Amino acid sequence: MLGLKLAIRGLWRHKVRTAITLTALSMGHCMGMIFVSMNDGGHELMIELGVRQGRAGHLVVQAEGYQKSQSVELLVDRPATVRETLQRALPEARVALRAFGGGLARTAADSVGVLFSGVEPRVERRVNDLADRIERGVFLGADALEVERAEQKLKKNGALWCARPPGAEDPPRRQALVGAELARTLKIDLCDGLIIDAQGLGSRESVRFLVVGIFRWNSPDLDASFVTLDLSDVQQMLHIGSGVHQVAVFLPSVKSTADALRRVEGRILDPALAVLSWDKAMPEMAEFIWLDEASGYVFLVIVYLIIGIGILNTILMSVMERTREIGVIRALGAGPWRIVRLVLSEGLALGVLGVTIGSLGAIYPCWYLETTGIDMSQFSDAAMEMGGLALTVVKGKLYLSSALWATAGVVLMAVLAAVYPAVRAAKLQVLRAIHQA
Amino acid sequence: MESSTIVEVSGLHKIFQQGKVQVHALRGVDLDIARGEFTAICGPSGSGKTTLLNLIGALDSPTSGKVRVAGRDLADLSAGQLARLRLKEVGFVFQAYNLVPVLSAWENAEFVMLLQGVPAAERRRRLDEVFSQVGLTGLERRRPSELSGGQQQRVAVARAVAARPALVLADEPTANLDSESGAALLDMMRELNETRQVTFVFSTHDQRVMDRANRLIELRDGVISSDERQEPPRAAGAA
Repeated sequence: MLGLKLAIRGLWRHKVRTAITLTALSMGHCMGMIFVSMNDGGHELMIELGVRQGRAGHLVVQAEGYQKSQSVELLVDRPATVRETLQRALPEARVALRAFGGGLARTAADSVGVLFSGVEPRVERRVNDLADRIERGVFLGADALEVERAEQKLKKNGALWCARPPGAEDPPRRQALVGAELARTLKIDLCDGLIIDAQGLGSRESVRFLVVGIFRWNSPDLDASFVTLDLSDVQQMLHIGSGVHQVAVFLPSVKSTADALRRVEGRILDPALAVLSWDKAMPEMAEFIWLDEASGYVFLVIVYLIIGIGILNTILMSVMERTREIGVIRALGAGPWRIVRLVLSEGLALGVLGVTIGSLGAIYPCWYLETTGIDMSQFSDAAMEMGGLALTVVKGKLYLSSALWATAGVVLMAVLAAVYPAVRAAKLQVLRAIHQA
Repeated sequence: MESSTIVEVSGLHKIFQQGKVQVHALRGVDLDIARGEFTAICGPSGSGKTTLLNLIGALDSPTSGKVRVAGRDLADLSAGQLARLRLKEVGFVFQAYNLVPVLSAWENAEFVMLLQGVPAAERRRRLDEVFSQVGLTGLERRRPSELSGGQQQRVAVARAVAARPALVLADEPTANLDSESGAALLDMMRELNETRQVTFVFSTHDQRVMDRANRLIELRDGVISSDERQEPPRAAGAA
């Protein structure tokens, strides 16, 4: 208490100097909080976009080795059992089954190599953003009302005849969703036919699908070479029976991934299956996020170091100006460690005051970023692409743990900046210090 | 059993190096001071008075010779141990007061007790008593810059004695005071000496201090030229 009282009063002695240092410190902390918020928010958005593009989930269960080889024959043979197990372990999660493959998509106009996924339309609507990305047409398995609305939007009755729910006498139609760039390349539109040639477990199959929707992710890869189909159609085309390639789990928040992984791992007992978290299922994205995070934090540390030098300067000047006072305190019986603690208290006081002001200053910008975000389309016609994903509105997200780490880091930096002046003060020769003018 | 001698000095030499010149400040001082003495060390400027006080107070180390304070040889103690010795056994009253400018009179006087870890209630009790004794009641909240020289020196004395040291070293305590303030301060210290048995050792040029001391040591050119005991007038407030 004594040290802190002396520290605060010592700092108050030079109000202008202390105010300048505090301004730098609090602004640095405020910017740091905003940066951390944007960093966490941006990365979380990327992960959410990534897992909701139909290729992964927060967790995925796949056959051992599928992640690396993507071989058609590496299947989850009893997906219903796996789904039930996952749903019991994670009642808050949604579980989707998917099958993937690659082949040649062709029309009379052209042919293009594509990747396709087979999904359960009713489940996928709730876990995948694809339904919101449909530029023209409807999602797979749309009901009559949805088709009618889509046609009203197109101002063309009958444009989606192929998507109308079949009557009792009509055979079920195979429906497909294609990327906007792929549709352009193949010169196809809604209800046009698209043939996909794919090699499954049996003979090579050529299956005709009807295009019911054209989507745009603003991602060159997805828009130019991805097709989404019904799971049962893909299972038939690839001759994989009821097997799937992926059981994807969607959690309420990416932050609960590690906990969910722990809860699931012990329950999937089949050694032929592997449970992967999103970072293992999307390693390129995880690497991009890690690099982006690391470079961001390096930048932040450099900013903090510059502020730390300012604090060091303030405290060092304060110590040099109080040489006589420190000598007297030593003469009265304060040992070297007491002097070290006294000077470190000044750094602590500066740090605590700085982060308090900085945190107060960061409340509004962080709240704005979290609720409104920054619309990147203001700055460019195209959406900002990060790690292969198109981001339109980037929102901040400040977690308490991140805020506490950033705050503790600034306070620690302020205390560390006081170490050199503290050691210097403790080493003062008592008598010489007392006689200093 | 506690020794009756609080300070033992033997064969004390102190040489200062000033550029290429060596200055012999002390040339073999031998001295014992008993508990409860009110000792004045006098002598002309440069005779070694302040140097002797600094060595006794463990603020400086001798070139040769021994200093024992409260039975402990200062040469055997580390910087931390010397600080603890000063904290527990020695009170200082400096010529230039040396109060901490950002603390009030009360907080300055409380400072050493805080370092000693004296409980709050006990600190308050002691300071109420000492402030009344040194005539500072009502000035507790003032900062040093708001006090006169005499008042600042009283705060310095209050700081020294409230911590209950065995020994108070005062370096020319009246040098910066007018005669009335100086006399009042001396009366107060004499009273503390008589009522609390605090040992006082002064360095001084001031005849009034010498007159009030019960032992007068004269230093000349770094050696003790005379050491006399005398019967001083009793302090005005003493029983």
